[in-house]
Amino acid sequence: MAEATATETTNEEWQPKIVMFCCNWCSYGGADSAGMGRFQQPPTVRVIRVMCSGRMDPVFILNAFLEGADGVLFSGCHIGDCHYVNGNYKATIKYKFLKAMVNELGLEDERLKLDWISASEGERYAQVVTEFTEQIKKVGPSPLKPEGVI
Amino acid sequence: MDIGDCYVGWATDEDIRTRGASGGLVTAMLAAALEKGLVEAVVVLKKLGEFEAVPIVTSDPEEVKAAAGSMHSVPIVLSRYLEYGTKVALPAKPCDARSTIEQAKRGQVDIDTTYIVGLNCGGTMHPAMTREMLETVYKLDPEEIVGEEIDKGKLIFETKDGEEHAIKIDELEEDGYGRRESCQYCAVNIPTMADIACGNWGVIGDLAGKGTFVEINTEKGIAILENAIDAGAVEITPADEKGKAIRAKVDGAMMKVAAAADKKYLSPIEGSHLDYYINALSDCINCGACKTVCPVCACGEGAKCTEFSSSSDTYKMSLFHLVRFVHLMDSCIGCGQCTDVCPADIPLTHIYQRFARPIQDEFEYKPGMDMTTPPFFGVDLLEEGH
Amino acid sequence: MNENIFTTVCPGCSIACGMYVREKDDGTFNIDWRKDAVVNAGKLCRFGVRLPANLKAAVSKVDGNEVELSDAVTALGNAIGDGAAFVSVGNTTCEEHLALMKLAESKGAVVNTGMGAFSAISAECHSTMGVGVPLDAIESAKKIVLFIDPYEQYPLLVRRILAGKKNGATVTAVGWKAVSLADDNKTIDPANYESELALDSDSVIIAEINPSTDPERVMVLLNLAKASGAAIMFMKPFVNAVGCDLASKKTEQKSLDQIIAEINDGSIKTLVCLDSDLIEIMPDETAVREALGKLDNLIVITSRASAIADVANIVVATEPFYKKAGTVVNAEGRAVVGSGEGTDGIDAIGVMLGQPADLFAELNSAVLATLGIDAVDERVIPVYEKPEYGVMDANPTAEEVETALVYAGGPFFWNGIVDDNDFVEMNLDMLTANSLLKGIPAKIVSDKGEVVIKYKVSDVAPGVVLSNMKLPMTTGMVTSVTVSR
Ligand SMILES: Cc1cc2nc3c(=O)[nH]c(=O)nc-3n(C[C@H](O)[C@H](O)[C@H](O)COP(=O)(O)OP(=O)(O)OC[C@H]3O[C@@H](n4cnc5c(N)ncnc54)[C@H](O)[C@@H]3O)c2cc1C
Ligand code: SF4
Ligand code: SF4
Ligand code: SF4
Ligand code: SF4
Ligand code: FES
Repeated sequence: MAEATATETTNEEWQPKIVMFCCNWCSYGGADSAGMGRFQQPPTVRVIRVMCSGRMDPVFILNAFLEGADGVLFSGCHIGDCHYVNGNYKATIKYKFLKAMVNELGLEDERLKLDWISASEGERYAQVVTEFTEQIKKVGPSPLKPEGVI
Repeated sequence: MDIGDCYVGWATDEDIRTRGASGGLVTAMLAAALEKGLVEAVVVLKKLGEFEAVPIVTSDPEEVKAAAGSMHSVPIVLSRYLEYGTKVALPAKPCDARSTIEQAKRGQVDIDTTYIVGLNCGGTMHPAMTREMLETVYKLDPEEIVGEEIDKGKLIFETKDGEEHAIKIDELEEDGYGRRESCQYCAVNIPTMADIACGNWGVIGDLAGKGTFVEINTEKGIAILENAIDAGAVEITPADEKGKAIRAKVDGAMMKVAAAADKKYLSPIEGSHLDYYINALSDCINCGACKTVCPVCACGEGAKCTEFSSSSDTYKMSLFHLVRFVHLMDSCIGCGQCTDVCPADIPLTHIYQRFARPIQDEFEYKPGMDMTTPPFFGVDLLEEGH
Repeated sequence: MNENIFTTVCPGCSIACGMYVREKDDGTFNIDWRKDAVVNAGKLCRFGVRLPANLKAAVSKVDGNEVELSDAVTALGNAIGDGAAFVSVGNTTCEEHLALMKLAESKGAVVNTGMGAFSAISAECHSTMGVGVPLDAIESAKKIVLFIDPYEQYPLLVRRILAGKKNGATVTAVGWKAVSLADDNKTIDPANYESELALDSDSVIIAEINPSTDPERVMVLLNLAKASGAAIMFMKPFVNAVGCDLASKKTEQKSLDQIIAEINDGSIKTLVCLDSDLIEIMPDETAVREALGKLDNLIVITSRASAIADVANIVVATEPFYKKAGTVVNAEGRAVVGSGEGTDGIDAIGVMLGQPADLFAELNSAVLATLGIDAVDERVIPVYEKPEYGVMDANPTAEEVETALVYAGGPFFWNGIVDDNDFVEMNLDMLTANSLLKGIPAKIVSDKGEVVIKYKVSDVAPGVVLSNMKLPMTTGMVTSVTVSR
């Protein structure tokens, strides 16, 4: 968690804070593979493990934004590979709702993304994270970020 | 009697017939349902004043009879008062009927034992607005009013001296009076989702004003009307084609009016949406009324919107609202209850509708119209090909 | 299950919002929105909405043992001797309050409403201090000055002030915390109120009088109103504080602090509290508990279970507020009558008055006479004379502490209820200065003790730790503290 009292002191390039939710069986494994394979990835992502992408509750995502996340990524197994049969279908539906919600709310569309990453796709994991980070850097800090949180 | 049949009916009891809005058919039907044991309880509005009524759940036919008449300044949704497991009937504006069905989907109402006696609805007014409008526009003392009526686009008040005072609803609404904003853009006028749909549109000739037009929508609709006929409480005659056509025409005209109101109130926000929403919600005092009163929400005390949110959060918006915006996207029926009770006068229905409309359009899902499962409930495995 | 539906008002504060209470056969109840209520158009704040969760019925007790109401009443008769002191702050109907006044009178005493400001300020001001302006007047004012936080303290004022703003009013707030509806949030030295606020007869000042209010502050505001011609409204934390004050003999009254002092010095041996929980109302809870412990007899007549009932020698439990027959007068001076018919409290007191016939009717006509009306009509505010008063010499005490825990008040605070108010507020600088970290509660230490509590970042004045919940380590409405991680 960010220190409420800390202030930005350096002149370095701004680094976004990204919260990423990974399902236990695929995407979290993907994160592991990325680490073991030593694929380059930016230090912008905080990973939170959930058992299945279907467990993703809109509350988690909204809460991440309110806490000051500049972007939220969530990922699970590729369609057809979910270890709980159809959790990722459910995630897809929720994603549609959340996208519509985030759009109406006036947060930039780029701040929320769903992607599928399997346990063996370490390189792809690094790529998704890198691309998303670049995307967030372009849109800048989230307007929902509470004051005093960097 | 078959589903789809249309009749014009009235109460046989002279008193009910005169006190009823258009012949007292609804009252007679509800009372007969109690008297003959078709239901154990009926929800009606107990009248406490010209602009005040409180919903009661009663087993006493006399209380049902006393409730005859339409109250246009009582914008209350009755479905919140239903209790699971009782055989019950209720008079239902489209918002009452739609929320009853949404509650049935969430296991709060047993649709098989609930008789929804639909009322056409052109809209309701907030009593505080009605009083102000009477004083400032009609120049009448609210205490002098003994009756109200909507006819040919005019809102008519009757005073104790027997005089009628009519003003065009369009003109009233132009000045910010008249029906609640949500009713102005409510596009469902005839409760096709109810078991039986009753109203005064389409009653013509000698019966105009003395009979109720009914359309049978379900088996339960047949049961409750036949029950009343068997009891000798109502008489019906088949509706003629001209009446049906007129009813459909007025309905169509009203839908156009609603579409215009839609444009007026719900055209896209200019400028930053986020600023708009943060600003609109900045006066929220966290009373929780908007949730408690929402007739499609089935959560009790320990709900996600409340449990994960706290007044001690230092956020730019409250999680409570954001969660509710998502949760209501597929089920908000735009009934206006949340706006009515908000102590900070936040236009909540307006806001909920802004979030709900795009997703309801995308999924072609209109809440409360039938028992179709809402998209957010999960995936239909068969549909996904598993 | 059958329901009894009462038309009533919320007992949370002196706005007295109209509401319905739907009571089931088993005594549990729900609230419902009374949209035709003139005061609030049916809208309620969190306190009103959550009334069922927070209002617990009282139980009659003698020496800690549960008894029948009639036995408690008998015990009450035996216990009240001469020299008893009486308190009723205004959480009950005018009629019940008046009944207690009759009883007190028969014992050669008065009933104290606990609002020390009244006895400290000359009688010609009492009407202005007691009865405010119609809430509609806020909507048509050109300038609105707030010495309260409407969001926390009197939530149903929010929509009135917003409506005023819509109609072109400018809103200035003078307080501990910036309120978002104000155009201007200011801290002003009381000596400069007149010059800085520049009010006139189209202005409305909204302030508060509670039992802990410094009378000098009230005088300053009365002076401000007089000098500018502005209307002034003093809100009160108790639903019928205005009605009870109207009926009371104000000049002979003691403040709650005086009553505690007299218990401590032994001159008060018996205390009778009518729906007035001193433990909840007074900021220094331990001091109150200690004093109450010194009484020979603590007698509590109450419609709800609360802290003081737990330590009382005798508890006379009356019906819940929504069931009471009688009149309530809100901050506007508007009289309202609910549909309740209960007279438990009046009957109990009546026993000691020799059970006069038609006591309620007699009390009710006395109340109507005080209000100068023949019958209560909630839509017509009785006419109150507000005599001219002279400018007063006022020197409010400035609180000179570096870091202060300040109570904001509000319905939950005054009723001793923990709901969603279990945190303190301070500004961002305070966090930095005291090395507080997000997610880790703050430790707040006073001379008396410490609490560890959640905090929230708000636009609060420097050095202020704002609380809406009573904390055990306070000595007053403002307590000197230190804050750390
Ligand atoms: C607010 C409102 C607007 C209406 N607008 C139209 C319209 O535009 N076109 C049209 O054809 N018909 C409209 N109706 C229906 C019409 O007024 C009659 O209710 C209907 O024709 C049945 O008449 P009746 O004599 O059989 O009903 P009654 O025997 O008079 O029975 C009416 C029943 O409705 C209940 N009721 C009254 N007010 C309300 C309320 N506000 N909410 C829920 N229940 C209520 C009463 O408790 C009673 O049980 C409206 C009704 C209402 C309540
Ligand atoms: S929301 Fe629709 S159905 Fe409900 S009262 Fe308004 S117009 Fe009638
Ligand atoms: S969110 Fe408001 S308008 Fe929508 S269904 Fe609930 S109460 Fe009605
Ligand atoms: S009703 Fe209004 S004030 Fe109450 S919680 Fe909802 S938005 Fe906030
Ligand atoms: S506490 Fe005061 S503002 Fe809140 S509902 Fe009760 S009377 Fe109204
Ligand atoms: S387990 Fe990976 S998405 Fe369901």
